Amino acid sequence: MSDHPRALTPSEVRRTCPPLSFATTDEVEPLRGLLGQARAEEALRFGVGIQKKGFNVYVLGPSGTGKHHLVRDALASRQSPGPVPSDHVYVHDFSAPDRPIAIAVPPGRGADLSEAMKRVVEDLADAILAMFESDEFRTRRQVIEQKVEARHEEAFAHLAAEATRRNLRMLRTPAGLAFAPFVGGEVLDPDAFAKLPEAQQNEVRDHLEAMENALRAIMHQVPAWRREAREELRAVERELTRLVARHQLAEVRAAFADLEKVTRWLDAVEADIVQHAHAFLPREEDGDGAEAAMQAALSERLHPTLRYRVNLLVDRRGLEAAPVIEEDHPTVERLFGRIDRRAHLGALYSDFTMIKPGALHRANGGTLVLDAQRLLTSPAAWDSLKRALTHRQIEIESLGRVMGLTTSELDPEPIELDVKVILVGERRLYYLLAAYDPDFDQLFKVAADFDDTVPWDEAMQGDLCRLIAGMARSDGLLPLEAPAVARVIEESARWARDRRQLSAELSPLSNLLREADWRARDRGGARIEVDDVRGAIAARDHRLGRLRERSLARFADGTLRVVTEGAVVGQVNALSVLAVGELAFGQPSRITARVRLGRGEVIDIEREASLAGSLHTKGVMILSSYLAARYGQEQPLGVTASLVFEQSYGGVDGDSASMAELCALLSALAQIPLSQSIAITGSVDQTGAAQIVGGVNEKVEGFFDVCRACGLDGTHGVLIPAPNVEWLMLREDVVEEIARGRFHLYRMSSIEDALETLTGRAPARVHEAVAARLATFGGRGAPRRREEDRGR
Amino acid sequence: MSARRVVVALATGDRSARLVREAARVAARLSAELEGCFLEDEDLLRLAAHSFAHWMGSAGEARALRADDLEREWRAVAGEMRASLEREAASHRVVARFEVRRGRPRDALSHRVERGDIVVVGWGGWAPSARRAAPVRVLYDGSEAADRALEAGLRLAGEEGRLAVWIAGAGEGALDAMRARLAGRAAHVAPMAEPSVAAVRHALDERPGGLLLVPAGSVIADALAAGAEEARFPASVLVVH
Repeated sequence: MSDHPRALTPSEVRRTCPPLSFATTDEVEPLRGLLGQARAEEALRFGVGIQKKGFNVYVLGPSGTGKHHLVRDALASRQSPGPVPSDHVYVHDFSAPDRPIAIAVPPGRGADLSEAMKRVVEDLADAILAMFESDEFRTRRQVIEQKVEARHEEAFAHLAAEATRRNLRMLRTPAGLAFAPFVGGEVLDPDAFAKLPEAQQNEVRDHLEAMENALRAIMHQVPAWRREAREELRAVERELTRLVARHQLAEVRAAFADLEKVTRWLDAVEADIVQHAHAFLPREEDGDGAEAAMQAALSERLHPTLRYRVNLLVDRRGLEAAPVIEEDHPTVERLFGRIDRRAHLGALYSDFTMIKPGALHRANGGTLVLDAQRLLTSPAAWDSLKRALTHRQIEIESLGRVMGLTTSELDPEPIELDVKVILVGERRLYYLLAAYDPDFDQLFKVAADFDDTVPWDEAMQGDLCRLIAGMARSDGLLPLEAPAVARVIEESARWARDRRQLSAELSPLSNLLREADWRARDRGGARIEVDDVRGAIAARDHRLGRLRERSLARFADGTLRVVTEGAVVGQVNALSVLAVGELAFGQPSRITARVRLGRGEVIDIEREASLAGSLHTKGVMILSSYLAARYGQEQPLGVTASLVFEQSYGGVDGDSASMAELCALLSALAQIPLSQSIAITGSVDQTGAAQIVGGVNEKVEGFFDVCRACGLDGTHGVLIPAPNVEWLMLREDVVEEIARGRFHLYRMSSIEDALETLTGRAPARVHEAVAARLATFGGRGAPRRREEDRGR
Repeated sequence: MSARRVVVALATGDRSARLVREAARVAARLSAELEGCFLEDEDLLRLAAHSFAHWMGSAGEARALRADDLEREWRAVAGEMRASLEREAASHRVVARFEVRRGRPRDALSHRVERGDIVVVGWGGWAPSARRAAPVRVLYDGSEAADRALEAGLRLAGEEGRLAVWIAGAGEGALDAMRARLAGRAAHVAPMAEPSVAAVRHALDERPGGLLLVPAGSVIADALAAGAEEARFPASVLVVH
C-alpha cells in the first residue's frame, strides 16, 4: 500500500459484504414483492385505484426491475377490483346495413341473447314454411289466385264466346294471340275469303277489328289484375308472417324486455322478417350446374337469417371481477379488433358477424396492460389508442382505413370505452412522450417510477438476501451458501456503479444465479458456492470481453500509443469508457498540450475537427476560464494553447477529461513533466475544484488492465475526484494489487492535488512556473519553442 | 310393362320450358326415353295467308301476321326447345329425341303416342316443394292403361313417397282389392264416384301440386286432349297410354 497522503486503502475502493447470518438460502424467508420500490408501488396503487378520466398509468424504469410483476401484483391485490362489466354484441342495422349496431347487455346475458336468436333463426324458416303451407294461407292464396284467374278466364271466355259468335277463333302465335275467321272448323281459306261478297269481307274485317280491340282492352287490364292480386297476396303474407315472427320472437322479447336497445332491435327484426318472408322459402325451381351453384352461394351470402344473428363480441361469463388484459402484441387490429373478410365469387365482403374483438373490448370496464415500446413501434396503434382514450369509445378500424388505404367497408357503431390503461416501458420513452406528445400528460397522469438502484443498507441487504432466496426457490436453483450470496450482493453494487447502492434490476441477478447454479451442478455440487458465483461473473466477462481484449492488445503492441512510465511535459493519461451493448470498459487516452505565442486562446483540436461533443467543449471552455482567472488578472495571456486526444478518431464527449487537459496545459506552460504511470479522470470547475465523473470503476480497471499488461511496478495508479471515492466498487483483482502496493488510487479535491500527485512538486511551484512562463510570453512576445521538451 | 317414352308436346314460351323440365324429371324417375315434339300450328299458317291477319302481344299492339315471320319464329323457338330438351336430358341422364311436326294441336300427338307412352301435360308437380306438398295421385278406372298408370305412379312415388289412388266408380270390393294390391305401401285408396273434370279439379284443389296420372281414354284424358279450359289442373298431369 502507498503512504501517499491521498492514496486510498483497499477498504475504500471496494465494499465487502459483511458475514451473513445464515448458512444457505434455504434458511431465508423469500421476499414477496420487489427490492425497494416503495415509490413505484405507492404510485401504482394510486394509479390502479383512482377511476377518473386521464388517470392512466405509465410504469417507467429500466428493464428487468420487475415492473410487470409489480403491475400484476398491484392489480391482483386491489381491495375493490370493480364489478364485472357488460357484455357487448353487434347486430345488423336494417336501416344502415354497413353500420352494425353495438349493444351492451348485462354480463353473461350476451350469450343468452345470441343463443336465443340462433334458435329463432333456426325455427323461423320452418315456421314460415309451415305458415305458407298452412291451410289458411293456401286457402286465402287460392281465393286470390282464383279471383284473378276467374277474372282472366271470364274475360277470355267472354272474348272466345264473342269470337265464336262472330265466327272467329283465338289462336296462339309464337309471341302472342291472333284471331282467325273459321268456317266449318277450319280457318277460312284466303281464296274462299276473296270469293265472299265485299260486304261480308268487310264484316269479317270489322269483327276482327272489334275482337282485337276487345283483346287489347283485356291485355291492358291483365297486368293491373295481376298487380292487384300480388298486392293482395303480399298483404296476406305479411299479416301471417307477422304473426309467426311475433310468436317466434316473443320469448326473446320477454327475456330482454328490460333492455330498450335490444327491444328496439327486435322490433326491426320483426319488421324485416315480415318484409322478407319469401326468402325463407325453398326456391320453386331448383336449377342445376354452375348457375344453380352460384345462385345457392349468393343466397347463402345474402340470406336474411344471417341478419338476425347476434355477434357476441365480448362474453363475460365466468368473470368474477373487472377484467385485466395484458396484450403482448399491441397492433391496431389486436387492440381495436378487426373485421374479417370472406372471399365470395371473386369478391371480398364482410358483415357484422365477422367483427372480431380486440384487447380494448375485452379490457373494457377493467384494465389493459401494454408494453410501451411495442405499442409505439406498432403502426398507428399509439394514435388510435389516444383517440380512443380521449373520446372514450372503441372504433374498429382496419390499419388500411386508418392510413387511408381503403374506403369502403363496414363502419360498426363505436362502443363506449371505460378502461384503465397501464403502459409499461423504459424511462426514456416516458420522457420522450412527455416532451413531444402534448396529449400524453392528459392521458397518463400517473407515473410509477421504478428506481434503478436502492440504498445498500442493512435492511435492503436483508431484502436482497430474501429476494435471492426466493429466486433460487422459484427457479428451482440450488441453495446458495452465505458467501455466495455475499458475493452476489457485492456484484449487485458493481452493477449499481456505486458502492452505496444495490441494483434493483432483477434480470441480471436472475441470470447470474442461473449461471452459478449451472456451474455448481456441473461440478456436482449440492449448493452454490462463492466460487460458482465468481466463475459465473468471470465467464460472463470473458464472453463479453472480446472488444476489451482487442483494445488491450492494441495498447500492448503499440498500435495505440500510451506511455505508462516516466514523466513527460504537456502529456497526460486521461481515461474514457467505451460501452457497446452490455459491455462497458475503460481505456486510457493520451492527451497532449502545446503552447505558443498568441492571444489567450485554448484551441480544442477535437472541436476544430468537429469531433468534440458539446460537453467536452464546455469542459475546455471552463479550463480556459480557470487559466484566465488564475493567470490573466493583471495582463492578457499572450499565449495560445492547443489540446488534443491523441489517436482519437471517433469523437469525444463529456467533461471527465477536463482536469487531465488542464494538467497537460499547465505542464506545457510550466515546462514541468507529468507522471505517465498515473492516469487521471475528473472534471474541473472554474475555481480548479475536482468534480465527480461517471464510469469511475470501469476507468480505473481499464488503466489497471493496460498497466498490468505492461507490467505493474508499484508506480501505477489513477487519480480520481474525491467525491467519486464513494462510488468505487473495483474488481477483486484490482483491490488485491492495491493491497499489495502494486497499484494505487488517489483522491483529488482540486487541481493542486492533481498537480502535486502528477508532478511530485508542490502546486505553488507549478503555478509560479506557469506564471513565469506566461510573463515570458507577454514580455518578449515570442515563445521558446523547444523548451517544453526539456523535461522529457 | 314399364313406361317406354315420356312424350311432351312443345309450343312456345315459358310453359314449354317448364314442361320439358318436368318431363325430364319424370323420364329419369321411370328410366324412360324423353321425346319432345314441337308443333307448328297449321291454322296459323292459313291465317297468315290473309292480308288482314294480325297478332297481338302482351303490350296490346297489333302487328301483321306473316307466314315467313312465323317460319322464322318457329325455327327460333324450335331451336330453343331442342337445346332446352337436350340440356334437361343431359342433366337428368336420359336419352332424348326432338321432333318438329306441322299440324293441328289436337292431332299433334295422336300419331306419335303408342301403348306404354306417357304424355306430360302441365308442370310443377314434380318440383321439390310441390312434391313435399302433395302426393302422387293415380286415377284408376280398371283399364290396362290404368294399370300402367298405377305402376308408373308407384315408381314415381318411390318407397317412401305418398300415393293416392282414386278408384273411378268402384264399389267396396274394388277398393279392398286395390288396398290389398298396395299393401305395404304408403298409399291412400279412395273412391271417386264420377271421375269428371270438375271432381278431379275439386280433389286437386284440396292439396294443389304433385302429379296426377290418368289413363288414356278416360274422361280426363279426353278433356285434356280437347284442350278444355276447365281441365287446366293445378298439378302436373301425365296421360298414360
